[in-house]
Amino acid sequence: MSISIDDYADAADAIIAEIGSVIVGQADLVRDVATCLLAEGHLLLEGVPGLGKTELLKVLGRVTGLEFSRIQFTPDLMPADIVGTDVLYQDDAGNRSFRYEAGPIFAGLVLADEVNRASPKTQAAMLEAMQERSVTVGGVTRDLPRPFLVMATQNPLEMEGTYPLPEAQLDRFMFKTVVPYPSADELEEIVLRTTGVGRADVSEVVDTARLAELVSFTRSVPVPLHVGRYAVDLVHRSQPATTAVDAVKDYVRFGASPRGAQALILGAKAVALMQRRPSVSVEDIRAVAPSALRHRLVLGYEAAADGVAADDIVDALLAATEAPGEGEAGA
Amino acid sequence: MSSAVPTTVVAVVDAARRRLRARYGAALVSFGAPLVAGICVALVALTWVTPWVWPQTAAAAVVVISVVGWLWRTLRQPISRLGAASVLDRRCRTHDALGAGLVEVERADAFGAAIRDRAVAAAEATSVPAILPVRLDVRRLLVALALALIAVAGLVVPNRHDEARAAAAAEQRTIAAATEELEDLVEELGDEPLAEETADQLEALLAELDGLDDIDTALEELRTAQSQLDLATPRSHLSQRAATSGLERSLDAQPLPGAASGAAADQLDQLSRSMEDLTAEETAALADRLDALAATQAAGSPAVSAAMAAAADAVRSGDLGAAASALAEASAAHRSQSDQVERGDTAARAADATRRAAEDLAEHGEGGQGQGQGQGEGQGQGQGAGQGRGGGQPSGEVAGSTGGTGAGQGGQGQSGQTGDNPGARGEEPEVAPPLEGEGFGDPLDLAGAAGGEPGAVVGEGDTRSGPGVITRSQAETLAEFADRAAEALDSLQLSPTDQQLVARYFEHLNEEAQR
Repeated sequence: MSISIDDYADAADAIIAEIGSVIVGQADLVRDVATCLLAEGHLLLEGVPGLGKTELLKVLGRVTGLEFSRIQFTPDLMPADIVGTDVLYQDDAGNRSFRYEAGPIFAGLVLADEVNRASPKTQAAMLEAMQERSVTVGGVTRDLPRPFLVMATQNPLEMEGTYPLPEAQLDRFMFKTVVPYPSADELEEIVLRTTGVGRADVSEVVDTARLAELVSFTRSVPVPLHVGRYAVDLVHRSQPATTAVDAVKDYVRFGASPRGAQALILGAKAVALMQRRPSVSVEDIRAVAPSALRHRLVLGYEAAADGVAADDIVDALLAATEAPGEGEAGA
Repeated sequence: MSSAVPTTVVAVVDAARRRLRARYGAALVSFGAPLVAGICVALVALTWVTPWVWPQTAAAAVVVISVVGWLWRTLRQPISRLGAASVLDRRCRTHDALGAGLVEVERADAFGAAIRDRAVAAAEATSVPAILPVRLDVRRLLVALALALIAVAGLVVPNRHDEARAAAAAEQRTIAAATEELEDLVEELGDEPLAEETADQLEALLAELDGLDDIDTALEELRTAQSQLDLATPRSHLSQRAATSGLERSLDAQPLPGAASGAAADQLDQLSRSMEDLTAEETAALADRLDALAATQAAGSPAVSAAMAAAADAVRSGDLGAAASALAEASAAHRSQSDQVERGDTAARAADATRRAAEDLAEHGEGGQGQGQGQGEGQGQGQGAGQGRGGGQPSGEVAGSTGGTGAGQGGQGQSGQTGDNPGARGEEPEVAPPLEGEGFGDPLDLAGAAGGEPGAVVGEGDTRSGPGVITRSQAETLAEFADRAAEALDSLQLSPTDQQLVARYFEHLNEEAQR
C-alpha cells in the first residue's frame, strides 16, 4: 500500500477544502461527510429543506470521481426503481428473454434524496445494498461497485408526508448528521454565491482507486485496547437494562446496537488519520459519538414528553462514562 | 525495529505512577486526618465523663489502625502503567499518545513506528511534577492538628476518673497474674488426648477472664468453673483410681501365669490368647489369682471384678474359651476404667488449679482497703467453702458449730478505711500428708513388762507428729492418702468387705471435699 499517514491527511484536507469551496461554513458537517467517505460508511443528513444537503453530496460526487447516482424518494417509489428489475427483452430475431436492468443503486455514490418520503417497503429495498454492498434480484445476487456509499438526506419527521425510517435501516447508516441552519454571515455568503451568474468550479481531488486505498488504510489504524474498551463501554451504557446512566434509564427504550460500536471505532480511525495521528484516541471516539449514536437510540414517550432529544442522551452518556485516566484514583 | 517500549516513555509513566500514588496518599490524609482526630477527641472526652478504660485504648487503636490503614491503602492502591499514561494523556491532551505507545509496542508496521515516535515526543514534552503536583489540603490538616492537640491534652491532663481506671487496671493485672497457672495448665493439657474436654473448659474460662477488671466477677467465674470441674470428677473417682492403680501394681509385681511383665490390660490380653498353653498347676494358680484380684477390684472397678471372677470360674470349670473371653472383657474394662480415671485426674487437677486461682484472687481482695459488711454461716465437719474479699470494719458475723471452719461471704471492700474481716473467706481444713517411705522414728525405751529385762525395747513409736509437721490442704492430700490406702489394700490380706469399707471411706472424703 503506497500510502502514508500524511498522504491520507493531505487527501482528506484536499477533499474538505474542495467541498468548502462550494459549501459555506458547516465545518462539522463537512468533517462528518469526509469521515464517512474515508471509512466507507453511509451517511444520513437531516435538516429542513434548503440547507444545501443535496448540493453538498453532489459536490462530494464531483470531488471524489465516484460514479454518482441520485434517487429521489417519493411516496410512489417502488423497490424495483432502486435495485432494478428483470425486463422482457426481444432481440432482432424475435427471441424473447428476461434481462436485468440495473437500478440507480449501482453507483459508487448514491444520493438518496429525501429518503424518508418513500414508504418503509421501498426503504427496505436499500437494506441489503447498504449492509452487504450487493443486490439480489430474481434470485441473482450482484455486487455493487466499491467504494459504495449511500448518502441520504431526510427532512425532520415532523414535516408533512414523511415516514420514519425503519430502525434496521437507520442502524445501517454509520453517521447521522444534523444539518444546522447557517449563521447570518454564512447565509449572506450563500446568498451572494448562489445568486450570481458564475458557478463554483469543483475539481476531482481523488479518483476511485485512490479513494479505495484511503478506505482500506482507514481500517488498518490500530486501536489501543483501552480506547476500544471505552467505545464499547459507551455503547454498553446506552442499554437501558444494564446502564447506570439515569437519562438512559428514564428515556431510552432500546440502546445502540453493536453496529454503533463499529461506527464509533471506524469513524474515530478516520478522524485520527485526518489529524495525522497513527492511532485512535478517546477524544476521537468522543468526537464521533453524537453522529454515530444519535440515530441508534430509540427513545420512549417519556423523552418526547420531557422534550429530551437523542443528542441529550448522548451528552449524558459521554458525561457519565469515565474515560481512561480521568479518574486518577484508579489509574 | 525494536518492540520494547521506549525508555523515555517508561521513565515518564513510572514517574507518573509514583506521583499518582503520592497524590492518592495526600488525598487520603487530607480527608482522613480530621476524621481520625475528631474520633480521638470524642473518645478522650469519654474518659473525662466516665471511668471507662477502653476509650483510651480505643483512641490509641484508632490512631494506629488509621496510620497502618493509610499506609497499606496508599501502597496497595493499584496504579497501572497504562492508567498512569492515560492520566498524562488526558491532562496533556496528547490524544492517547503515551497509552498507545505502551500497548501498541508490538506492531512492526509503519503505524507502530509512528506510535513509538509520537509516544517519545509526548514523553519528552511532559513534565510530570508540573502536571501532577502533590498537594495537601492545608486547612483540613490544620483542623486535624488542632483536634489532635486537644486529644493529647485531654489524655495528659489528670481528671477525676483516673484513679478509678488505675484501680481497674490493677485488678485486671491481679486477675491476669492469678490465672497464669491456668494458662500453663491449658498448654500442658493440650498434649494429652484424654484432656480435651477439660482443656476446652479452661480455655472458655480464660476467655471469660481475659480483660476482666473486676475481681468479684472473676471470682464468680472461677468458682463457677471450679464447680463444673468438680462435677466432672466422679464421686467414686478415688476408689476407681485405687482399684486401677492397685491392679497395675499388683500385676507389675507379680505377673499373671503365662503372661509377661507389662501393663495389666496387656497381660490380660496376652493371657486370654495363651490359655491353652497353661499347665494344670498354672491353671489352678491362675484361678486363685484371678479371684484375689477380682476381690480387690470389687469396690472401685466392678466391671473388671465381675469379668475376672467370671474368668476364674471358667478356668476352674475348664472352659478355657469362656475364660479367654472373660479375660479379654476384663482387659477392655480395665482400659476403659483407666481412661476414665485419667480424665477424672485431669478434671481434678483443673479444679485444683482453678481453686488456687480463686484463692489467690481472694487473698488480693483481702489486702485491700475498705469498709466491709460480712455475712457468713459456718458449717460443721471442718470443711467449708466460701468467698469473700476486702478488709475493713466487719459488721458481719460467722455462726458455726464447734470444730467447724466458718464459711461465708464477706462484703466487698471500699476504699477509704482499713480493717479486716476474719469471717470473710472460707477455709479448708489442713491435714498432714501421708508418710513418705518407712517414716518411723527412733526407738523408745519403755518400762519392760513383767519378766522382761529392764531397758528392753518393746516397741517403736512414730515421733513425727506434733509441732513442726508440715500440713497441706485436705483436697491436695486426699489423693495421696487414697493411693496409700490402695497400696495397703494390695499388700494386706484384707477381706473384700474390709477393702470395700476402706474404699467407701475415701469416696466419702472425696464427696465431702467436692462439696
